[in-house]
Amino acid sequence: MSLLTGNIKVWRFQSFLKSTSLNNINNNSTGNINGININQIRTATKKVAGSRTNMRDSAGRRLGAKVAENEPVKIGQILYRQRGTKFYPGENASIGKDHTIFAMEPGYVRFYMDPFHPKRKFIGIALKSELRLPTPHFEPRVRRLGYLPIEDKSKAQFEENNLSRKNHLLKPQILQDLKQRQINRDVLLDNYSQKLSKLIPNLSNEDNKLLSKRYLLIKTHLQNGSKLIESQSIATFIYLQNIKLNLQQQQNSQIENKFDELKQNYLELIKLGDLSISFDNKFNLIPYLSENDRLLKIKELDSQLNSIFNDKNSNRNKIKEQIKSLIYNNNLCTNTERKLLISKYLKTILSEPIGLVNKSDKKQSSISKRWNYVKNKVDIIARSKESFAFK
Amino acid sequence: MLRSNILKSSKRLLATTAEQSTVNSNTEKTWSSGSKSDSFKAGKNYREALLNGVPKNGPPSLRSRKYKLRYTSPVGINEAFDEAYEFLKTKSQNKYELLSKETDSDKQHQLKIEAEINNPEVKFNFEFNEKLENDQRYIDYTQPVYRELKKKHWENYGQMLLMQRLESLAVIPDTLATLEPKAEVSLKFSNHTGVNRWIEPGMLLSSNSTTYSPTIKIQEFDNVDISNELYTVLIVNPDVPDIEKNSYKTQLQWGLSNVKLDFNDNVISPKKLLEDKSINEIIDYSPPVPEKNLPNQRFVTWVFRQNNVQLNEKISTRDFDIREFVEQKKLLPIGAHVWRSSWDLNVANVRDLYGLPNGTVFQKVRGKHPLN
Amino acid sequence: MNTINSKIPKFQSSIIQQIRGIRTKKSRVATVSTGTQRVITQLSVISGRKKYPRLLKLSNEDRIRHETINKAWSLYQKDLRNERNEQLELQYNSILNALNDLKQVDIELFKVANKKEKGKRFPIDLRIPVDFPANKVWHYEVKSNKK
Repeated sequence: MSLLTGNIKVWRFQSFLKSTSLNNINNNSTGNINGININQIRTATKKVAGSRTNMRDSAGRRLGAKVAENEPVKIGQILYRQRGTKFYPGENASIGKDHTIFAMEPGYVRFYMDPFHPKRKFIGIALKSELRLPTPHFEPRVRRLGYLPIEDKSKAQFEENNLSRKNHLLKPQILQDLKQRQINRDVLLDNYSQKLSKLIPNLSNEDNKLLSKRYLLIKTHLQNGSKLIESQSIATFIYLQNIKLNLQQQQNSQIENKFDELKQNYLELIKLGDLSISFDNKFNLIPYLSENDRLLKIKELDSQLNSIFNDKNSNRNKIKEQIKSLIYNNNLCTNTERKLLISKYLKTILSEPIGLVNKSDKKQSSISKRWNYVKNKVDIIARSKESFAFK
Repeated sequence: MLRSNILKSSKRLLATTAEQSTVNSNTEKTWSSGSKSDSFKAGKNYREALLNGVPKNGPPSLRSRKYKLRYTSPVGINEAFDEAYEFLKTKSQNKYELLSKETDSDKQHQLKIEAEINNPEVKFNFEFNEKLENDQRYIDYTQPVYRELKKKHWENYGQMLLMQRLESLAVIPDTLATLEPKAEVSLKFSNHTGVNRWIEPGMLLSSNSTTYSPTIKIQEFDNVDISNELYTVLIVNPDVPDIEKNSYKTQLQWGLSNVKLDFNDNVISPKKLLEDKSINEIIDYSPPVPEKNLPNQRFVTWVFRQNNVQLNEKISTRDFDIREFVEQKKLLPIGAHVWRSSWDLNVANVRDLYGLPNGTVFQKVRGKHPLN
Repeated sequence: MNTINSKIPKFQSSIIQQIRGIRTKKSRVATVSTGTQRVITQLSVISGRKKYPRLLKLSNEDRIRHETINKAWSLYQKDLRNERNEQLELQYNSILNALNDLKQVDIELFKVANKKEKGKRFPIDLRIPVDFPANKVWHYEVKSNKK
């Protein structure tokens, strides 16, 4: 009740103020009515200047989907514009630097979810209208070839001969190298065929050619670390494959018989060849030598070297030359065997206990120093003449 | 192991300084009595040093005399090793005793592995010998323990590499749905070029090197009855252009079946193809002859177990549905390999050799026409 | 510190040979006295680089021997662990059986045996079975020396 009366009082007072101010408006903006001083204020009704954040909204960026589900699209067509990745590019779609999703293949638009990324939404392109995305995980991909053959023969020929700049520049060098390699091969082939005609005298020219080609191939395989038996069978296999292909192209009616005949001939020929020919350590052809025979020969060489080495009467320098020539000119020992022989017979200083003398001994002919790793100090080693095999 | 005098004076470093090894060569060490195979023994040059400690003149595995003399074993390794050896030997002995009572084949296989896996000689043999082209004297894959070691070695790198290549080149699922690799498949082309090198999965090869059929090595690890098991090898190319359908189709490049393998002798080489008459060639080898301006083609080698069933079929057409074939013949895929080929200047020569028609030349730029 | 500073070598300019700002001749050894060298050695020994021993460089044979020792040790530890676990399991099972029996014989006693004692972290009256048990189990009156 008191609140209501209070309101009435205020209202009355305000209406009283209104009436008095209206009367005095023409005379004075400030009036003194019954002892109350009133200042009249006119507030602004128009805004003078804008605030700092005013007028800063850009036009809409036209974001959102540009295509509908199952709509046919072309390559490069934009499917979705967005800020950030609301959608991810699915199959046959890709994403631009402003996250715009576009088509990589012509097809039909699919908006889909993928169980492999349960939190992502994808937009992809199905290549056929009846296909659903994602493609089942274990099914083969559906792929579009897209390339068309060049129908015009001359244009096709031109395109086939057309090389990239890099290959075009490399081509003359490659051809040159091929030519050089062929020349080298021909020289070797010639060498082999001459050797073959000596080793197997009554061999026809054709057979000679066949065999020398075979041994050339075997040589390359041996050089690359294959075993002899393997390389032989590779050579046979390739020859047989070649004659088979050759016969197939002739479209002979009796291919099978002809092939069997040729095969039989070749197998007999190589049997003859492989039983009368071996390779030496520089891949030259030599008369057949079984592995055991070769080892025997190496043993013979060893004993021969031994007797020369222990010969006290001859000049040591001459002996050294003799041993050198025997070892280096031997064409049967492998590299390891040669190294062993060298370390055995061509070392200047004999192995340790021979010829070692006391430092103070007068027989000594040379003194050398050597670091002793066990005692961590320098050993002084005195040797007499005995410890030197050669000067 | 040469250290300066400064370091030798430091007490803290005594832990690493040397001990003059005392070799007690008169005590011959032998692994448990069940271990009979010679392939469980290390090479004769290393055996002594491995079991009785590095001798005074240095470890035999070091070649240079200088480093041999410098080398010193850690303190106390010999005593600790003797203890460890005895301990592991009794464990192995227990396993062999269990093995003699066991009848189940798989459990026997497991026990054979467990009995030898801690043998230091076996470990040494496997670690320091050629694993792919193995010497049976040191690594004998008929012994389950060496197969187990090789399997672990393969799983560490080879298998992962293969699966990564198969996935990223989409070999799976383009040819078969997936692969659970059980055997290691290695491949090389040892042919007229003389190159003798195993090929890493996914390598891009020239048409010259792939002119003749590859050599394939299949290393089984599982406890399979290898003397009765037969294997099928298929090489397919899923990237043959199908211009009519504006898509690709799959061709069979080479197919072999009824291949018998062994744990050690397991290479399908020219030698084996010439000698082994039981191998059935499903279709003869057709070399990769990619067309100009097309993307690289994948050539996928699949290896299957036939589950003891003969497969004498021959196929005359190259167009091939590998999924259907595998399902029909109930083949179990155990391994795969892939190489890639692209057009080069030598393709025309290969086509000539095999009497194939001239290759189609495609337009350089990929067209925009949709897939039907 | 001063003493060390005074002992750090001062290089004689005539011995250090320099060509275009690059020293071409090492002469440090010549200028350092044995006493100084000792200080340098001591400093280098306590330096951070040498706080841990060098890696062992093992020959092939020793590497396999080392691995064998490690393997044997881990297997031995495993055996011990298994043995302990088995023992614990047996103990647990026997307690369980005893309590089950007790439950059937006298449920009241079972409840008393399983009564939770609030605030008790470890049973002080627990006695370790020994050959010669003490007459007095726990010395309750003992207090720490701290005041």
